[in-house]
Amino acid sequence: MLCGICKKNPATVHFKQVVNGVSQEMSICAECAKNSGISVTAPLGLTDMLLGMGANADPKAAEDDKKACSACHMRLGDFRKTHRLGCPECYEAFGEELAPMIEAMHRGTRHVGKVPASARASARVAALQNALDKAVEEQRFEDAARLRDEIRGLKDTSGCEA
Amino acid sequence: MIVDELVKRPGGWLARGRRPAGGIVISTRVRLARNVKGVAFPGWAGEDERIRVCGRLRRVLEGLPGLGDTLFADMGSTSRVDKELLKERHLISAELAGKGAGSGAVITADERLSVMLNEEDHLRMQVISPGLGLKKVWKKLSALDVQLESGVEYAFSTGLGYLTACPSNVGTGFRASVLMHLGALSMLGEMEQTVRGLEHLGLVARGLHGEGTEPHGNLFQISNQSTLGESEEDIIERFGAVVDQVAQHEANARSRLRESRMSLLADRVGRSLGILLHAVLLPSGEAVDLLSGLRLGIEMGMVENLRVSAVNEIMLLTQPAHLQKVSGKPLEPQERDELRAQMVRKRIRKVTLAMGAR
Repeated sequence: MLCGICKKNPATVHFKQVVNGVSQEMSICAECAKNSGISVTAPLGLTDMLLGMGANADPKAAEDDKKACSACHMRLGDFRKTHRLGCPECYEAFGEELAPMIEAMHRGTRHVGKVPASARASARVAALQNALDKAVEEQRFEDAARLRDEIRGLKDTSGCEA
Repeated sequence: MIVDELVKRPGGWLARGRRPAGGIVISTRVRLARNVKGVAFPGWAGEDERIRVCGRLRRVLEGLPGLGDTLFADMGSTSRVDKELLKERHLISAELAGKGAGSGAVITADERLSVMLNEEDHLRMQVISPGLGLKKVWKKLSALDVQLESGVEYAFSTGLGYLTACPSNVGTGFRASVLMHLGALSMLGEMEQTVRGLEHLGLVARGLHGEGTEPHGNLFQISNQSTLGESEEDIIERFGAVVDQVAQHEANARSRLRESRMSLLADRVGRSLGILLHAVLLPSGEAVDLLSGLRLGIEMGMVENLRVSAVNEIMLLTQPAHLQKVSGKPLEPQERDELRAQMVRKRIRKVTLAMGAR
């Protein structure tokens, strides 16, 4: 079997991890294992493997150094080394690269569950604003007035801005 | 409240609790990962920023009504042995203990609730309680989370939920875990199979002190992995059902031991008690393993004059940092083993094997 990363050398390091009932396996050569910072005596999960994959693949590294988060200036290459993001905005900046990792790690790809009150209120305001725009467009002025008052009320209580 | 006050008393989540059902689930813990909107994660932020954020979050937390008397452990000024002690009590993680100024933990006096500041995320809050009780601990933790919203704007996206430094925690940022004593399954050599089964269900089993630790004393910490695409309640439901199954599995294994392998079981319990009563040097790994045998014996009615809560207390108080704090000076490994043996002997000297357990 050939190495799953360089596809050149014979694979001597084998990984197996079960995520959500799906078994994932990967076999790589000793050299790629070393380059990915994997010590054979201290095995690590496939998640770390996925995060670290291609960290030292030269052509990619140059690209990785160009792509950066505009908020915290972390480069994609930094993330591939540390396996930790720089700031909340990084999720936008590296969305494309993160999507397959997130999919492999979790049971779903969209958040379900608790939502902070501020986000709840702003989501509600956005929905009301849409309804208001539509009401104005359709000249339903009584509805529009009611919606406007409701939006005002929400903004006052939540303290969030438009 | 200072760290020194913690040393002599049993951890809030270990002793004094209601007797957990069958003793198989020792404690339940839930945690949430949260971050502040628009602020770099701790691993990427500069020291000045970390100190500023840590101070701000500390003030918000200490200003919350209902937390009561709290301890703040500043990782920049807490001594190494005190950090170790907090770790042994499950109040902070190894990762936090490794940090310096700009990281810390706010811990309530009853030790049931603790919030780590600038560990991997800005906030890692946990509630821990004895026995099994996922819904109850979650309710308490969720209430703290809501309270904190009045002072902190969280990093949150509608699609991905709460944003965390590592994508493996994104979404709910929620992890539920239980500490289980699976003595009979281990004796029957069925643990490997059980761990594999758990992995198939998207759960993970680790040793007593979490990530990267070997299971000692047949104590396993089982927790959920996935944090995205499933609500906290759904995770609790699914996870709780699996924990019940594992507990049932262990209970069945205990019955099987009693019915067909009684001499093996009695030997294990008897040897454990014998060595614990007479050892002069007791290394910590061995002590935990022997205490597991004793625990199994108590739970199966084979040991007299000892309660499970006393075993928990011995386990907690004979850990290395606890021993050093009690003796008030750094100890060489052999001195520690000697002190540990003394403490164990003192606490179990009246313990005997029940009739029929020989």
